[in-house]
Amino acid sequence: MALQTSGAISLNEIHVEVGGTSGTTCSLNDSDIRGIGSPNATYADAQNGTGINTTSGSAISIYEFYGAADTVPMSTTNYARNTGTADAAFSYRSQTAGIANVQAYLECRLRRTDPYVYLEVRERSSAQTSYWWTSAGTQTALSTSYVTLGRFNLTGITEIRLDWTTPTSSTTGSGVYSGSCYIAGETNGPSATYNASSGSWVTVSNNQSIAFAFTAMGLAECYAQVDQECFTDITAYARKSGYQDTSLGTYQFTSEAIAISNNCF
Amino acid sequence: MPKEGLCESCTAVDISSSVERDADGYTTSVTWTFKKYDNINYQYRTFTVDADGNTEDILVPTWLEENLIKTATATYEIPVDQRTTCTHEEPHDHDNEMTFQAANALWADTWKASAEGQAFWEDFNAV
Repeated sequence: MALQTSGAISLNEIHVEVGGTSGTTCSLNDSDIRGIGSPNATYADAQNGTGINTTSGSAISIYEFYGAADTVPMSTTNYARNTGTADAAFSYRSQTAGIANVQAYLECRLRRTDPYVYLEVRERSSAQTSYWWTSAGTQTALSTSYVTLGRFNLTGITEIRLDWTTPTSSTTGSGVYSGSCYIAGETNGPSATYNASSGSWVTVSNNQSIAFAFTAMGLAECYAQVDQECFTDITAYARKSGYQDTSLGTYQFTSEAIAISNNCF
Repeated sequence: MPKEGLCESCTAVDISSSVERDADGYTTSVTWTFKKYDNINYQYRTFTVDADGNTEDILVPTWLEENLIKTATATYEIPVDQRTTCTHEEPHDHDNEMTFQAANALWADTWKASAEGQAFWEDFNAV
């Protein structure tokens, strides 16, 4: 049962809520107390946002416990490499032309289809060469059909979120070219209900989804060339009352586009 | 295609390079200057796409100096077996250009795969 939403809250009441024995020793620095679920968002702070700072000794307000409840993490299943330091998915495309304009898109979707929420990835075009890696590290061809990287094993999840890091890159080139790393919420390409927006929760009902597109872009003209590699780390989250906000871990995506111009008009 | 307009999460790296040559015109080193930007604004630009003068509007990334994240330079000393007298210059000669382009790609790939190149990109991306 959740803690009260007004009036005085004793430390003992908080301790009991998280499973402690009434009257026994506890402190506001105990990890189970700071890890309580659904803390009061009114007391969000700049450092920690909407949630109690779990670092022992950091500032904390007793009012953050208004309405908080003991929760458990969601069950998840992971199918892909999610170390965050090696690729979970990779796509590559090259083009040689007078005006070489090439993109290598990965489409990433988080889809609620009860009793699961699926994290999925695919390449946009079969002209790309793409792979994904299983959790055992096995490289597998990635096509224009979605594969599941991981899933939340819970029915009735109400909010989902896809976060990504600002893309980093490795770029080489010469002449008049441009290369960039593009990442943005998208619905049409990935066939999703809503745009994903990094850091933002989206309320979903059954069979709804959020998605984004990620690509390395290369454009070369007049005998220029560019090799554009882009990297981003993505994290999927899910939320449901009575459960802790849960993530599937961090998946690294890489996209590479090579544009070679062989003419000048 | 990317959406036209500002993409705050998107990034781009602008590269300029200078090539040193010996008295015989052979390349001896290349120095790249890398400038990384965010807040990329994708805008259409018209390109001439063939010898008949046909044009096509293509989305290209543009950026502002105020969105510069980082600048760094790197120099690759070109081994003798990778040197060339070919150039990238106007008027463009196809064979000359393609040979220079292949050489430039080889320099870039060799440098990128080296310990020095890998350390460079690790540092450049650690913003």
